Amino acid sequence: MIVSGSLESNDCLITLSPAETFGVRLESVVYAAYGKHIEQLITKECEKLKLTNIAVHCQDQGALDVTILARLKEACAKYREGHLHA
Amino acid sequence: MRSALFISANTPSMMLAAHAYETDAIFYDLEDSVALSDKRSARFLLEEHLKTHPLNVPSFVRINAVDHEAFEEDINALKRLNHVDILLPKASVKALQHCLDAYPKARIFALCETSEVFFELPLLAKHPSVVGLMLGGEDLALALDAPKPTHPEALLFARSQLLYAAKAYHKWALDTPYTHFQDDEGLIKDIERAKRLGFDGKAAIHPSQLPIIQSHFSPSQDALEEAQAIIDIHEQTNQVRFSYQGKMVDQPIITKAYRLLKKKDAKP
Amino acid sequence: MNVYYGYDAYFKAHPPQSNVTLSFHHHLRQGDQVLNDVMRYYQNERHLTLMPSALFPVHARALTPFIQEGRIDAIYTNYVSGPLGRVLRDYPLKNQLHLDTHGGRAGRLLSKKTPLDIAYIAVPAVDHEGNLSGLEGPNACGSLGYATADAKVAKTVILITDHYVPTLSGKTFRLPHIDAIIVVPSIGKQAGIESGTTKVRPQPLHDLIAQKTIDALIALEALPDRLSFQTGAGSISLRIAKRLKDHLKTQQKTARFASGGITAMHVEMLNEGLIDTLYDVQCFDLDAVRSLKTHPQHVAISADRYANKRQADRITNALDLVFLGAAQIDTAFNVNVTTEYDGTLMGGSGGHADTAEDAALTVVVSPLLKGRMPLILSNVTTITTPGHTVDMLVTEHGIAINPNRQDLWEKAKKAKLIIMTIETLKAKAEAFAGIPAPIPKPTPIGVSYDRLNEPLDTL
Repeated sequence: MIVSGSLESNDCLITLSPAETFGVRLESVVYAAYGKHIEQLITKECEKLKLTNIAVHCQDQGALDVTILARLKEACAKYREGHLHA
Repeated sequence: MRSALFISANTPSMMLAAHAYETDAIFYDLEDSVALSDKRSARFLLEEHLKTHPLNVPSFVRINAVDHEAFEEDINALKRLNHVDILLPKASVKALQHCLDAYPKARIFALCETSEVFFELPLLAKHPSVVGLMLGGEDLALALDAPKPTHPEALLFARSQLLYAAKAYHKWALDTPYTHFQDDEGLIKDIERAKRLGFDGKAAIHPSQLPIIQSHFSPSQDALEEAQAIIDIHEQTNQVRFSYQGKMVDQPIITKAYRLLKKKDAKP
Repeated sequence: MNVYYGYDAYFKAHPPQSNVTLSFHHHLRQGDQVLNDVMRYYQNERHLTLMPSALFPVHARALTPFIQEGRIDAIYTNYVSGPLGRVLRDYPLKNQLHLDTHGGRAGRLLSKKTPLDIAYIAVPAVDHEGNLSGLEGPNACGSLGYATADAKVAKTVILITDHYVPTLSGKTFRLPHIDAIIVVPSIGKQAGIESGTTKVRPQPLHDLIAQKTIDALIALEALPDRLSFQTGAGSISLRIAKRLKDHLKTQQKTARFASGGITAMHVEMLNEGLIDTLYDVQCFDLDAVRSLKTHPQHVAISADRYANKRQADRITNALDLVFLGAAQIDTAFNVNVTTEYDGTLMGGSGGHADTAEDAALTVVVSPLLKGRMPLILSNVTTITTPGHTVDMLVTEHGIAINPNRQDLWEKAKKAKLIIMTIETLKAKAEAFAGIPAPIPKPTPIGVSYDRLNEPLDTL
């Protein structure tokens, strides 16, 4: 399991774990206003990062898109490192 | 340049809030406020943020020092962003050269915080890629075994030296931040001392320090009005020696008046 | 006047009934125990109408079963915070939830628009002569301004106290009639009145907004000598009060009065001679309670006198300046302090709409982004306060003035104060956060009323 980000205000905590198929689970303090948008953002970025067999869990505390992307990139980098070391 | 606010590049709420504060510059920090294990994370955040939400004031990125393992990646990130403004910690002539070799386009604010650099300050200040010098009081005090960096006598030589070097080469001179961010009285005393010496401004480690720093380093309304009046007389009469409100005015005072108006809220 | 020792004794003599309208006040705020204790006796009754002046998280556990089981037909109140907001959405009341302003509630009661059967009034101290005081006893909470209308019109008036003594001295008051006094071990926890207010932590963005607000008002010449003003107890309000105090002091000005919910900051200003009079409808902290007890110019007022639009000489009508918060504001300056973006109830007007309409200058102060959520929307989720009563918005990213205040625009221009349109400010927030997805308004569960109890919006 790979973790990046935090649960501070305006941040989000991203957890990646291996899975059969790709999936996103979002908990967000702004779900009503931005939930769908954030789910799409994560899915698109994971496609770009070529993360496929992965479950993404995002606990969002009102992070901007740029923050979610940065946390996702860090999680992905960590994930790849883990694979390299394994 | 009256103030520059330090913002840790790994704190999203601060990165967002930075857009609201009234300051002449922002110093995004990848160095001391970011733990080693978070360096990459902070870089990603800074990169995404600067790409999409550029500030409307100049921002310098405090990268890690040239001998730090994160230095190279920091530089690479700034290159990708085409962001040239760097606050270089542990500045020295050698470090400057190292940094410019890695990123020739860089515009450097030199953070002077080692005892060694004070023997080569003129060379640093003279360099065309250097836009300003900032005193790093905490680290310097540590290097000097000076127990109280905020004491008026501590760092006296360094403060004066930095000021002479900066002014000799028309670069910005920025004073070290005042670390006790809830002590407004101490901050004001510290600012007044820096101002008396000739510093242009002071770095802030907490946004609550900004209004105080900005207002103390801004010329008063009276001073601005007087400067304008002197310039008006000078430009209308073409004289370089006249009396204004019972005071003799000559060339240095006219020059000072021009400089005051030009610098009142100039950004680096 | 009958005195009963304990709720059991009272309810044995007067068994609770169905089909009645009951009222309570919220002066003990999060420290209130009376509503919960009384309602326990109604647990088998049906068709109840509740008129608490406000509901707090402390009431959630006691009231939730009533709402879930459909025992309460309707609730008339001014403010709902805590878990009850969601419960009321999930289990709609048969005859709806009705949200009034503080002044509107007094007007509704006094005009008998909604008849009240029983007022259960928590009173911190009562003496054997029938004198009342909010200033004595272990749970002194100060002003009882929200309860006086109830006492005037209720068919039955029941006082509940934990401090019943032979005589009370100092500032006391009497009621037209009292049907019974119930003496109980405790009416609540005094410390609970300070919940959620008055703690000043470092909040640099709030400092910035307060600074911008006061600087703008100075530029607009809106802080004259002898002004009257009102501020709340939120973090930005307290910072504004502090700066206002410094301004009055350095400029050697004084304020005629401050009104509404009173805090330690107001008390400081009163004691330093910067304010002549405090009109206190509710004490927000214990410093305010102590001051009300001792200072002759600290005066308790009723909600009726405070803000009832049916009264020409109401205090709010004499206000020069009010500072108000907002959860949302729209481009027509309508303010929502009642619901969240998804419609969940989280507050209510209180005195918001009352003061906004009456004050000569109404300034809304708020961060432009709350977390990621933009303050400014195309349409607010619920209209609490109509936009034509709001004059100015101050955020950390800039200031907007209502187009219906051309005079202010002109003044700002003369003072070289930078003003943006509210649309510009909205775009600024959206550049960071993106545009929030429009969501359909949930099925109405109630009504938000204006000051004369005419419907303003659905809930």
